[in-house]
Amino acid sequence: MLPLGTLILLSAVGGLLGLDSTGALQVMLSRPLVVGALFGVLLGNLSLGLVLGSMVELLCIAGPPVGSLVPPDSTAAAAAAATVAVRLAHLRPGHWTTAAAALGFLAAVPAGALGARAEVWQRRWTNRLSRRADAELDAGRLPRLGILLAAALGMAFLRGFLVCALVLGVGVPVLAGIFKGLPVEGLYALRWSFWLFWLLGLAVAADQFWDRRGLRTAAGVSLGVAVFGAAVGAGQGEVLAAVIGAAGVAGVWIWLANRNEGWT
Amino acid sequence: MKSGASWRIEAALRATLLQGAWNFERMQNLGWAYCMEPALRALYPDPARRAAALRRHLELFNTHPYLAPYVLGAALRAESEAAAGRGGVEAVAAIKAGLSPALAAVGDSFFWANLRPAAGLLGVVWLWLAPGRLRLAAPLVFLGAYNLASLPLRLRGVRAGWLKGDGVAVHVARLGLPAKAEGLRRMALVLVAGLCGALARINQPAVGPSPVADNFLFLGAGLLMLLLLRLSVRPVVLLVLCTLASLVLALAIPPMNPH
Repeated sequence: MLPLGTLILLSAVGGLLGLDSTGALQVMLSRPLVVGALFGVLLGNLSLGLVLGSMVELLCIAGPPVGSLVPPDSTAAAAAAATVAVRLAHLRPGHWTTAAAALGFLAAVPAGALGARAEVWQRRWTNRLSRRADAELDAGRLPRLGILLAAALGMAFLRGFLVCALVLGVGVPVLAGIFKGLPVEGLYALRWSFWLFWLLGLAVAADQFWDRRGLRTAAGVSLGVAVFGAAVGAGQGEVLAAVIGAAGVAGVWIWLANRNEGWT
Repeated sequence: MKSGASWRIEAALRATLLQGAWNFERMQNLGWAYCMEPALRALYPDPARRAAALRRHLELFNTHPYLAPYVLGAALRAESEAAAGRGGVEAVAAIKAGLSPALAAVGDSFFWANLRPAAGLLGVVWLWLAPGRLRLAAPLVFLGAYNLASLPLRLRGVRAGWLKGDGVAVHVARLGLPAKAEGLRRMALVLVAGLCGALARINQPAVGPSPVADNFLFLGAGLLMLLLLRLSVRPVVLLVLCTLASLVLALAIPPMNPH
């Protein structure tokens, strides 16, 4: 389904971006929104890649990488979602892009789980590098820390590369076969599920930021945009400005109210 | 011999790879020792003393990667004083042990639990609500918002730690990160709510007798999912339920499906 050159290129990009999640820089190039956009560009459909990236971003919004906790691999998940959606979007005649997008989103779940499992293996392997540094000191030599660190980063890249190669190499042809054979009812169901998955992402984000004290403000903004915005026929740019403005004011208000509380 | 400023710059640059060799046994130890290495090379020309110092820094270490430069600066200062005979090496270990858990807690709460999700939400809101081709800038909005807030803190860390020494904890406390985290939480909650309202208005499938009824159906479905999540139902279970519900909907009302 994917030409070998494209598969290698996408896997290499996935491996490189994955380094940003823990090992290097951590400037958030590994987040699904960025990965989805980049994969969309590489596959010729930035818009669809962005949509899938944003859906995976919402689903993975919780689960911070605290201590030894390894959250689902959101880089591999977004790579799988964007690639599956873009490659499947043209397989069926008619307007079935959202159906392909829903299937892409479903592909993100096993990809994220596999990536997390692979990261646990990789971190266990990295234990050996730490012991190697001790062994060199015991032998009276100064360990070459730069080389040990480069080996660890190389392993992390290889992990990301292999996960992407496996998920895309196997997942895309399998899902393409399923998608091509689906009856129309199945396509309709996927189209419905696209919007339900969207809502699920928003619900996950709302759950992450749940705060009883903010519910009245949140409900007011939500209903205001949904009902009042529709009634006055506000344009999309005006809605964007209203939502970001309301969020900014609410955030600054709470920050100012709490800023004199000490750090305990 | 390199000057102190030179090690600090090198340490700050190397701190971007602090978690490069993260491992379950001693976590960030290799990355931490790699950050300290240029200073240790300059401070301890004698290989035996340098090996002893390196062994100290290869012990377990873990903190938030963005606030680690503050610990690094304080540890560099303590190490340079120990090398000059003005203090013991115990001070270095005490700084690491004292600062790293506290900064880890503050950093996890501010950066991972609030700033990153809030910036991500801003990007998502931008993608869905910005007009025309402006929406394609969503990843740049996300990266810009996140890094403008986090990079200055990361870049100042080593210098602040060096200047304040073991008093750097007070310096970090004065940054007021917990209050800012509260503000980010509220901002993110309002962003989610606004996006829900806007999507209900703009993009949802039409099933009800009127657009307003559709909006309430859409928001109601979202609230039901939120309720289930609050009841500790896992998102993966909801994903399966959504798929099944879609199948039922498609079989029940196919002619009303949207295009």
